[in-house]
Amino acid sequence: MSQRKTDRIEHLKTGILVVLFFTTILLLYLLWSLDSQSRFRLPDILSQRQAAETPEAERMLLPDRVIYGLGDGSYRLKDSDTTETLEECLLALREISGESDASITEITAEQYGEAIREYRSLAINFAYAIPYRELCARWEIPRVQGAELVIGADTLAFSQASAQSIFIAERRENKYYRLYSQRDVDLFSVMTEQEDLSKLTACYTVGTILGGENDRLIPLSAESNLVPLRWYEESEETSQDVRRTLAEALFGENFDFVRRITDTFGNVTYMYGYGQKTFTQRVDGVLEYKNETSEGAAGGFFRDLETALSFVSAHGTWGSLDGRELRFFLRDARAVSAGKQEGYRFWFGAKMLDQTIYYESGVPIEIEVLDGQISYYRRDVISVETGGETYGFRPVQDPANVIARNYNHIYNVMTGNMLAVNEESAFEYVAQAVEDIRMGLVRIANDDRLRPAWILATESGQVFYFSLYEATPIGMGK
Amino acid sequence: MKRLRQFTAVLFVVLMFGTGFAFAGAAAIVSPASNTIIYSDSLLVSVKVTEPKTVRITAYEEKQASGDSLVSANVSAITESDLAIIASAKTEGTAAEGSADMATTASASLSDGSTVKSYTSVAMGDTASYTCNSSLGFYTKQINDVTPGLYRIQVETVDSEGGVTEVVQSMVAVKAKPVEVKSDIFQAPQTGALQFLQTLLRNIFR
Repeated sequence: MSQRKTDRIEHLKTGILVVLFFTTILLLYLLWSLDSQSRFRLPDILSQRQAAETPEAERMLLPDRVIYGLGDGSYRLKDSDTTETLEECLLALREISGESDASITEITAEQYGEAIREYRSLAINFAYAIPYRELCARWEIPRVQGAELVIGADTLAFSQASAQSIFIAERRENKYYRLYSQRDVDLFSVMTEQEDLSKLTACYTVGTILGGENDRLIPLSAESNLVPLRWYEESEETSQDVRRTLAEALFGENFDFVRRITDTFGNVTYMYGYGQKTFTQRVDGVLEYKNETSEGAAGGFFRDLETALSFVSAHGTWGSLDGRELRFFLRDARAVSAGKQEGYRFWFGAKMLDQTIYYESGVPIEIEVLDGQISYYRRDVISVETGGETYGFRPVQDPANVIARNYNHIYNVMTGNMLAVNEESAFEYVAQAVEDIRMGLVRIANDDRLRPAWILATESGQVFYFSLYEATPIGMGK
Repeated sequence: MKRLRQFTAVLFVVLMFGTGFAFAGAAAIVSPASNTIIYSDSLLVSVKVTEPKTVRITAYEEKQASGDSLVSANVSAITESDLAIIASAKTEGTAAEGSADMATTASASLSDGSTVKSYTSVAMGDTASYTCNSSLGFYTKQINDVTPGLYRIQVETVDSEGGVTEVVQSMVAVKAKPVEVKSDIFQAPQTGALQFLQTLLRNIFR
């Protein structure tokens, strides 16, 4: 009896040992497998990660342009200090959406176009579409009847054609909606009464200035005080210690198991496992991080944006390390998917004193979030010298003559045809293809100075850069 | 092979020189389009110059006499076809008198049965000069605070001695924009059950 009891106890011990053994294996699996894919979050190992400040997602949403239509074929353009206009617009959106009898109806592109062109109007344009459901949730905008029709919004507009309405558009999808208030309220006047339109840049359609049918807007003339500014790669300032710290921060506690590879050009790549995570420090200053993400839940536009913002804060900074102060903003965003994983890719631009800095190739920060995890991060941030020459505002080459002087060059690049046999048709072709032209500072390859330029984008996606004061070609990209 | 090279060279030269004469006329007014009615308080002037030449641009207001003074023309009843008649009469008058500032002769009849009035050209500001140094250039200017009336944009192409070789002009009527009818574009939005039903059906068949 006693022997039997002893055997039972031994069997029980054996069972417990087996359970403990398998539990150990399971925990080890969780520790090694999921940590390597960043889902099992280990405590931060760097003090700077805890101290890093993450900007609010709302602050990154900067309207691309605010356009005031005068209803007579002329427009006024505002491409700086647009945040206040957006905030007023969102307040109006919240107020109208709070009315019990307000509703959203779909309208045609023609109706929308007429309301914007033929009447005094105000359009707040984004370069990307924000999911409308998330926009409402973020700004506590009640969902009115018909709100489920609106998938994304890249334009919020007001028009005297229907002053009690807010127009919501997703131009890329050719979808237009009208949020209609039953109250006798003049939203258009509320939105525009504070703005002195005479101080804004006058614009007309390309067709009105150059002839043809292109209804995209170009400024009539402009003045600028932009001058060339010396720039340098952020990483030039960064010592090896800081780079190593950055690599350690990216790989967390796995850093001891990371291979370091230096190629003949001097590019340094840190690799974990069989390439599940790689981090490359290129000699030209670009930092690139790739991560194999595991399956998880997609976060949506704002949650993914916050994930991206936190990641950049924790593994770098949202400011330049030195030189003039840069303000980063969300320049473009696209929904992406990889297999069953979904997320967003974000492109961040930088502004210096309200002037956007353009790169001939790429953007300062590009980051992709898949299923709530960072799958790609590319940082190419520059520092811009302080001081330097300053000038007052002076006239620049007007956009019409920038196009007139360079249409042959644009035509040749766009078509690949080096012999333009008919100048008139070549000019008409280019005038029809112009999508946008705006001023800015451009970083050109092999030039140590940011150049003041006209940036001309065509509908095929090609971008041409022309010197601001001379209208000569200085670069191009896509 | 040598002949082929020569032929290619000749073809290249022909193309190079040939393309320079592809545009018709040295100057053309893109905006304002001739004989149009504009509802605005500003006027965009856009002149396309297609040869390396100098042009002189002058904006005139065509005024009519009222007692001893000149006043803006009453354009409330003027149509675009009337503008063509007025412009034609103005051109004839200008050619006959040899001066842009002389009165238009009144003879042709307009759409309302009246005859073309006698207009006097009054320059709006100084004449602008624009020199195009390449095969294509644009002169652009926005004229603000324009009141309803009859306006004429005149572009003169001048040669190296300062002589006028070509004149083009564009006649427009500027009118006050009529009171906007705000309910034309959008029909009254559906409310209540109908909209709910429409939304439901859309969601089902999406």
